[in-house]
Amino acid sequence: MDVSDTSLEGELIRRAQVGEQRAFQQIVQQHSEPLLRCALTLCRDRQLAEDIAQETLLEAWRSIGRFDGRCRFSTWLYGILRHRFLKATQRVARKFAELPVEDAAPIAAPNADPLRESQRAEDAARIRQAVAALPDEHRLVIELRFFADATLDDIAAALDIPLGTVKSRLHNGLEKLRHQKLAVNLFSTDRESPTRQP
Amino acid sequence: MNDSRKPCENRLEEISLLAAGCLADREERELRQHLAMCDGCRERFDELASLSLGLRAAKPAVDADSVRNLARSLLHAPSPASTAGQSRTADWRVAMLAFTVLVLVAVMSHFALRPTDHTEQPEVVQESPQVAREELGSPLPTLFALRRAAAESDESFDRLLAQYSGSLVSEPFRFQSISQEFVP
Repeated sequence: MDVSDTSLEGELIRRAQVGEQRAFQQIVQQHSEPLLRCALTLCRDRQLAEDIAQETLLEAWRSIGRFDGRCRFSTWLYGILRHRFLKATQRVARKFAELPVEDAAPIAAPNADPLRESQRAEDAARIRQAVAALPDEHRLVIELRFFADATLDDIAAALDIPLGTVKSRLHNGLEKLRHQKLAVNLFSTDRESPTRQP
Repeated sequence: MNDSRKPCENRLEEISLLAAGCLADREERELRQHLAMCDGCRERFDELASLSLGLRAAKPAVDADSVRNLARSLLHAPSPASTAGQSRTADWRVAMLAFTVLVLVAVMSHFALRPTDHTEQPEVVQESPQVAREELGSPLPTLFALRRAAAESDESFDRLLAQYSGSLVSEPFRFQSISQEFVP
């Protein structure tokens, strides 16, 4: 069952609001991974990210009755995540460690060519390093969009910034990465840009 | 529209948003029409689209067990409906306790402030002007003492006047003695 369907999600939320835990779990299954990725983006510490994501879901479950549907459920969830993240940073009160690149390797496709996969992994590591080197305001927006699949509204809720600021930061972050010529060789074996074709 | 290889300045943010998959349907349609005619913008879009693909491919792996554990962690969480019920019960308990305390305070204050013996009243009134008189060292009763005694009863007022009668009687004598000093 695909919970991303808005009407189905709405129905599940209504059932969760009257205390049906199974309905809430169905919603959570859809949002767990993006939420965990978002937490990882914000705090860059796996253990802490899992704790924050768990606290977020528990808080969402406790206060599901207050969700009024004025925004998307994911946006509401990301708002809770931001509060939990801020609380956690106050609690932990330490600088978050950089996420090790080898710890964040993408999953290889089954039956993939090992040489090609190795090249792909290298490219991915290079991109992650470039993203990690961005100023925080750009890094967060880029990571939330591309690593956590967050929508612009979700990002605005997670970072508590206006939608217009999210758009401009996303644009500026992409421009910074573009200037590093990251994409020139990345997909040259997969496809050619239409403008480069004769 | 731009014939050179440079993208249009006013389209740059839109192109980035389209490459990131964040443009609304109507805006996307409108921008794609422009891209079909503008080489500079199309080239920039291709570059950013390629970068976006690279970024998505570089998505860090997330432990599948961690994701499953998140959903499982909710199994032991209490239902919001039951916690809401508990909080409603707690609210009632607090309200009942507050009501009981209010009733007790009201009953106690009623008995504490109620005068037990009416004969004590004149004594209080009688003492009060005396204290005021001693403190101020005034030969006349204070306005407060007069008002209070008048409010109590006629007897209290008469008693107060009787207390100060000596001072009141002595006033003409003082006036006489002062006037006599100016008599040639």
